[in-house]
Amino acid sequence: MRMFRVTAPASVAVALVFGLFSSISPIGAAGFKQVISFGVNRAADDLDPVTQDANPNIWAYMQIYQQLVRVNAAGDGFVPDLATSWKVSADGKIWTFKLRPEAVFSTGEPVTSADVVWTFQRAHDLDGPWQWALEPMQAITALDAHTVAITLKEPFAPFLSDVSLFSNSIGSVKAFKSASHEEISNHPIGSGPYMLVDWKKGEQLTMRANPHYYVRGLPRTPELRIIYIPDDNTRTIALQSGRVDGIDYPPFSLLSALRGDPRIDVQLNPSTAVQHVLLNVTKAPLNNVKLRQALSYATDRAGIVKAVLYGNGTPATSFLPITTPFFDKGLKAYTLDLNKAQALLREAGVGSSVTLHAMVQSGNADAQTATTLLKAMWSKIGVNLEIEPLDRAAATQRMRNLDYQVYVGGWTNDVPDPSELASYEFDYVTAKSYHTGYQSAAMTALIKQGERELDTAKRRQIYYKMQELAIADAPLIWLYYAPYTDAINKNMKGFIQLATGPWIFTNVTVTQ
Amino acid sequence: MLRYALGRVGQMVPIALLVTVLIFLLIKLVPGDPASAILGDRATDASVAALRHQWGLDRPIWEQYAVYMRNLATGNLGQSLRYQTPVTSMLPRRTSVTFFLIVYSLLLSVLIAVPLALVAALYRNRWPDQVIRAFMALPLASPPFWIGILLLIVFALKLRWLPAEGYGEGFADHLQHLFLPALTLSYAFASVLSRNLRSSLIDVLTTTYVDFARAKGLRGRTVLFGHVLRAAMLPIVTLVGVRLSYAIGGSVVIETVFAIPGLGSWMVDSILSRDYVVVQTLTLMFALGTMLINLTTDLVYPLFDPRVRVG
Repeated sequence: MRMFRVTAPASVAVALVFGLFSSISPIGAAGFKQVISFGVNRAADDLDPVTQDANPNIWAYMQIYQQLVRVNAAGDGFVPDLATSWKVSADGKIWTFKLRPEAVFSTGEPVTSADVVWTFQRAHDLDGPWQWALEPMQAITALDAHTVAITLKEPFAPFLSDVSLFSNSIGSVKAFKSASHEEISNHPIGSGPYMLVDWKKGEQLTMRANPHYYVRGLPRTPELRIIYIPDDNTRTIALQSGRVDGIDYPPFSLLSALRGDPRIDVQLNPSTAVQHVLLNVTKAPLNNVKLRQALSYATDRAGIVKAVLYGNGTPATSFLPITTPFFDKGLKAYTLDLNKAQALLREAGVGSSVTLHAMVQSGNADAQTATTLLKAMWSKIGVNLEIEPLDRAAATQRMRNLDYQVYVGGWTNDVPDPSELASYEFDYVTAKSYHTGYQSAAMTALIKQGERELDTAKRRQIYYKMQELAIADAPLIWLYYAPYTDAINKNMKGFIQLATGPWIFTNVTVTQ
Repeated sequence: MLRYALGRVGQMVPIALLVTVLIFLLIKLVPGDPASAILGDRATDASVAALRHQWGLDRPIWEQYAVYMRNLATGNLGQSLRYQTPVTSMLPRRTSVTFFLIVYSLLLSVLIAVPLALVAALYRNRWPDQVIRAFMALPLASPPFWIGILLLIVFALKLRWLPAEGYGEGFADHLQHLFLPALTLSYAFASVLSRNLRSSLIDVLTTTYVDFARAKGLRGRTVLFGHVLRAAMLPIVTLVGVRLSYAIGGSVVIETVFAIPGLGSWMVDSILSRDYVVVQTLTLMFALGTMLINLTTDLVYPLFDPRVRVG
């Protein structure tokens, strides 16, 4: 009796918590949910298209904004977006875009050529990570309310790709003309299917259907919540327990278990992602090309794919992602060949025992595993790899200062054209050749030729040569191509992730 | 007591100043530049330099500290470098979330520990006592992170009774969302609390004034709750005070695992992105919070034992 008297109140309290409170999922007509909840591993922190380059930001604001043209789902071409048609002059220098007259911002203001002019001028003038995309632009003019002409300094083959870049998302000149970067970031105004209604920083973005979106009936689900759940296990459990309808980046180690869950659909979406090893070529011994080639031959890419991606990827053969135009399927790339690696090491003359130092991002399990595997692989040819874990901010600073030797990283190509990646990885002026310090007059010449050659067949040959030269000079070691991984509830239909990364929620429905 | 309390508050000022100096210097010594971290890999050197200049990070460190202290004195906690939002606009929600979590975990600890300790003390050395002591030893050997994941798997994944993450909307939703994280935080403390309370209860139960109360004919429940439990609580007040201070730091891991938008997860994110402004503010808050908890603990003692005097 005494035991009952003292334990009963506690039992009642616990029962109250379990029993009384149940969450309610709003259900709309025809059994579809009114809200899509999508769990993500990194929080958005800046929704200004021009000022930063983090995927969580880009993929979030792509629900709000539109571009003149949009990359197609396969990532190898374009579809009309705010521009219904476009043409280029015979000399390749003047691009004319006809705008969609029915497009309207979420404020109710129509989208006009003045908005395009302001957007492009801002993206051109502001010193941001995407300024290079409009560097070829000489002038932009509004010919009438719905026609824009962009004059280039010279013909530029990838220009349409650059126009499609998310940093050229069209904003409202009326709302943003005098706005600060913080105002644009905190209160984005676009003409896309969704508009931002609430942003709990570091927690959740809530978007609702843009009432003025010109496609009637879209988006099919009126509310979208992008929820920050950093822990991989928690995010996966949130999906499996039905708390969210989909998640990004389920860990490769959990894909097999998720595939076994009858409620879950695991998606491996084609991507423009390529993982690589950056080598600082400005300092000995990695300034020795024979050593770099030796390391490339000593790397078991298939083994890394198996260990890191659990087989859900492809060993890399080129610096270009497999989905990018002009990827050379016939390229004579590096394969695992320890004999060749040892022979090259001897030719390099760096001695029989070499010690290199690798940074690795702590918290990035894939990079840590890959770096550990490299240590084991390279030890077979007498190269000792010392590993130093650093958090992201510290690693980024060391990389930018060229204060490192080896660093596993990755890239997502943002446009369906090889020029962006070629420029970033091999043009020293752009980003110190992806912070490797690599400089090659021959490569720089090929980059310029690739940008100026308008004939597709000739352009292809230029990029084929570029890929061969990249293999020969080996400033990076390309490891694998990984798909984008998403896991969604099987009741969620219509979800698309573009090869360049952004999600498309416009046609998503979730049945209860 | 008022004079004592005011004196203790006065002592907090130099300690708080020391904390501001220490954290200001420490965070600047950590490698990694906030402008690069926030702008990303593809930012140009010029844009990184421009942002550092905008934030005043290229000024001498003593000048940066002076600006920080001047702003602090006027209540200006600055703008989050990462989110470009005044810290004061994010602070109330984050603080309320962590406060809710800590109080919730404390209540759960007490709800679990007090009945178990009472039963264990009343049935001292008999099987209920032995079962309870064995059961409550388990949490001391289990890392909270592991317990949290287990609870998620059982209650969120398998049974689908409770949410896996987040804070929810509305009081009822908060109770539901925070139950698992609060239970994770409370579990180990409930074990310590129950063992200490059991010992304290046993000591009080054997005192002569309890025998006298029984001899007077008072009912068992009156003796237990009116005399024994109240007297046994004094050592527990100290434990609760220490625990509250510990819970502030302990919330960091739990909030990250359960995706709870509190001060702990905000601190982790801010350190990783080198958001100096937020790190400085939160560290100062944690330090002041710990000092206030210690002061409150001291002031609460006389409520349980009038013989205790403070000051």
